[in-house]
Amino acid sequence: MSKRKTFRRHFWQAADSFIETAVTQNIVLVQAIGLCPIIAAGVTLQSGVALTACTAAILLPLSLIMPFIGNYLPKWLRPVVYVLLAALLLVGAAYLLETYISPELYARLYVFIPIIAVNMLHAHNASMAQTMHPLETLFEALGSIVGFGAVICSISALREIAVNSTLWGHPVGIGYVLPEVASPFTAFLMLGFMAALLQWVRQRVSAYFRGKEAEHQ
Amino acid sequence: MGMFLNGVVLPFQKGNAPLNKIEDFRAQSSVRVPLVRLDMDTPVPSLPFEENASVAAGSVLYKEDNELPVLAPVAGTFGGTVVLQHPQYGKLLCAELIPGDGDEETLPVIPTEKLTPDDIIRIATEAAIYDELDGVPLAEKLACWQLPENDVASPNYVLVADATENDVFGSSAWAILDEEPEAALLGLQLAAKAMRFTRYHIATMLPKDKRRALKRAINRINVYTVADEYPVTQYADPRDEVFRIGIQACLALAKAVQEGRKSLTAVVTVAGDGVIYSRNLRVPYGANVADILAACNVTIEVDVVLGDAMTGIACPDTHTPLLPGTTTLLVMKPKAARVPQPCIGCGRCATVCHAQLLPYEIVRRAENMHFERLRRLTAQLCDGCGACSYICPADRDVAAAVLRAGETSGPVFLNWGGNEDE
Amino acid sequence: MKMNNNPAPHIRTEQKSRHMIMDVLIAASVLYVFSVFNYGMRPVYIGLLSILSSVTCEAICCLIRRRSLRTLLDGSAAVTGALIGLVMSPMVAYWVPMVGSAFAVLVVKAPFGGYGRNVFNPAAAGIALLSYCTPQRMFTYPAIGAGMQLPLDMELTAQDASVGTSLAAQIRDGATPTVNRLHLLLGDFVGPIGATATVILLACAAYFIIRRTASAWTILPYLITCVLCAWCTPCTGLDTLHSILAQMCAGYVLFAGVFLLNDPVTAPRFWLGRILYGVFAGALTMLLQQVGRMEAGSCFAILIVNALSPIIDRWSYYGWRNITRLLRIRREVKAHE
Repeated sequence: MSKRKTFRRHFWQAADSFIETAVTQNIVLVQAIGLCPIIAAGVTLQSGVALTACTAAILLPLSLIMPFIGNYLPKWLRPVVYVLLAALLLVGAAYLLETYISPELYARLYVFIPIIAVNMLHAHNASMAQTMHPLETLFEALGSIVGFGAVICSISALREIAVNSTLWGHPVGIGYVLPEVASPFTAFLMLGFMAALLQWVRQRVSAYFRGKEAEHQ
Repeated sequence: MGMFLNGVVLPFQKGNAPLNKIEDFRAQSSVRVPLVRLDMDTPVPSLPFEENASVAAGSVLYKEDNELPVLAPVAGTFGGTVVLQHPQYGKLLCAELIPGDGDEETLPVIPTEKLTPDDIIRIATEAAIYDELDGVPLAEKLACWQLPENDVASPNYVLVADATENDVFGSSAWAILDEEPEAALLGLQLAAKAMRFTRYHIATMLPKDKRRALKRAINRINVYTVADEYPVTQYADPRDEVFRIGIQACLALAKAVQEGRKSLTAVVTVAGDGVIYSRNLRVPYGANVADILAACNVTIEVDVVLGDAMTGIACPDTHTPLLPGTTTLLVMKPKAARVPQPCIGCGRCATVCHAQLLPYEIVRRAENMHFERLRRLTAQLCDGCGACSYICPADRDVAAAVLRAGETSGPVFLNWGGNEDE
Repeated sequence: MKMNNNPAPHIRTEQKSRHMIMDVLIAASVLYVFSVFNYGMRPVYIGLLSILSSVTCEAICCLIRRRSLRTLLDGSAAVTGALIGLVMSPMVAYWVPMVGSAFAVLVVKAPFGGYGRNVFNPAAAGIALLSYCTPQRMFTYPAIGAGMQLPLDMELTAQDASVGTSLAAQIRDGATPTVNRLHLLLGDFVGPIGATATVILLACAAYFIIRRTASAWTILPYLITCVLCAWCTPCTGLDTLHSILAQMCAGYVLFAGVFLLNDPVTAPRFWLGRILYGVFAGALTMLLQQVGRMEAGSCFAILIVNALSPIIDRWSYYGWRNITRLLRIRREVKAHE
């Protein structure tokens, strides 16, 4: 098989896994990973975006590194190395966040940034067990980031509007404020409804395709 | 409460039928006797009669090897054969008899003391006695359960003549016990002799005064009183192994041995809110349901059920013959269709289940197609008594769904879904 | 001749599920009538508006799911509204129970598939939401006085009615409850609309058990556990019996045991599971009453055990079946020896 063909096969597999982790098997709504930062810290859109950026800063380099060194490590050592690398990257990301972006934001988020690292460990544990093409792991990491980011950004935006009547610090102009929405249980409710919505859409889409298939036959 | 009592207590709706005498019923239109089932490519048998030949009651119409002879239940003329769909037995080829006058054929009478067990089974075969509990030939049951001579295990085995009638409307067994208790007991003794059982009794659930009269008529130790619940779980002492035959089969066996009369009729209770009063009729096998309804002066539009309220099968056509295995004909005024509501989880179906199943959970998993998770719930133990459907406050057909689930949770589905679906 | 094709059995029991719901509504209406003597007509309006809100939301859900509006007639939405109205403070603003009922139906009941399929008790969830979000309005009770008529305005302020300290607040703060035993039994003390009438609540429980609307396997273990827990943590300055009675009457303990816990949809169905469920709920309720900061501890306790009830149900069934099987095998082995 030519090199080009191999690349193309890997590319399509990677795109497939991207769609899977981002939408159909959404990392938050279906696999229930990374709930803690969303529920506790996703109160304003700013923190949501910052958490997404931190996730990206950890996951993207890791997904490029791990396929190359994963082969040479025994199975039991892989998670340990993964966590250590994630922590290293995290220290860098946190430093950047504190010094160059916003110290207050860092002060608000600093507990939840390490939690991301451990959460993402679970997300990638399965993919680390067998060695994969770097392209695939990269796309999967991208899918995780997009899926996580979409959920946390939408939830934190909604909560910011409801609690402070602002969006990214700018007033939206709704006079009515619901301070209870900042509490964790509303985030649980929102997540539940979003998961239900995703299931509904998936069912609709698969029913549509099944109908088309039946027509085709 | 639930923990201590399994089964349901059904309403008493037998009316005056067990108090009145059994009435004789004379078939007016045709009588149809099933010859063979047509479920396979059965060759149509040739009959020894031509059309319009006169037939004596009890004469053999057709005989297959190793089967009971098919007898003519009434005297009359032979009117050809018909194929019909029976709700209980499927597609049947029937001989049609036009009732008329004629004699009754009998068997030779042998003194009771000289009978060997095999003689009794032969007489049960020749007299074409069917067990009314399930429609199985009595001779088949006797031969199947017969113990070898001098069996040591026999003290644990009890032969029970089932006269409980614990269902809602049926009372034929009570009426028989009222009219001919001695003959019924003799038949039971003969059956026990044929099976080489040493212990036997009549299990019944009569009202108190009737029970006293019965105990005076036959010996007290031959009567066992069951608890008033549906379904009956104890026909004898809990340590004993119970073998059940019907009381009408016992009576027929006694008549066949004593008087040489073949078994041509069954006592059938016609009851329900579609008839003015419920009564017991002595009906020849194969009589039309429409004939029986006419004899009971039913003129309004009714739903007919072959069998009793709890387990009966709805009868789609009144030109259905009444066959062995039916002792109750339920005539109901037509009702609006039941609308099943969502299960509210009252848990009564689990309370009344005598097999200790969880009907609600079985139904839920079967509805959600979790067949692989049905295995631990052992739905195949369900015998379809219908107590759960009766008690369900949401009008759901629980028993039917559990039976269906029991069929699907067989070995085919053991690893069907795999672990990924759980 | 037309013939039916219904499967057996051909007769059904007379007791239908709508009768069970009617029983709950009857019992709730008794409590509303009782509250009229204490507070005037305001509690009745609260209850009616709450029912109106829940039924309207149920109708909206029926329309969205393209169900026939006849499903409203089963009355489950009305029960949710009536129960939420019963635990309101008599001087609560009218919109509070309406919001609670709407939340119960729109969020807790309908998305799971409606009546018969909800995981959590909708009424308990609605009460929990309200006590979490508007504790000031929920737990500000008017002082009780014979023949008092609360004004029927939308919002009541402290000027309209004198505010009293509820029994649950007294017990939680470690003070000696000031209500004597007779008043505890008669419901003559500061508290929610329907959750104070001890004798009526016990009568409702007896009514439910006799009518087989609720199972004694749930109510009795719950009450016994609550009494035992109350006995272990006596109030200061009261004798044992009085202290137990005061703790049972405080908050929603009795009300939750009689009305919320017995919702058959969310309770286990096997009798052993029901006993365990009642015991868990009772212990958790008394724990939350002792250490929680809200009077509605029993609602949170019930929501927690609701989540556990399928597991309790299954495990208790399998456990019981295995035990009986072992016993039977042992008996048979003995008989053969």
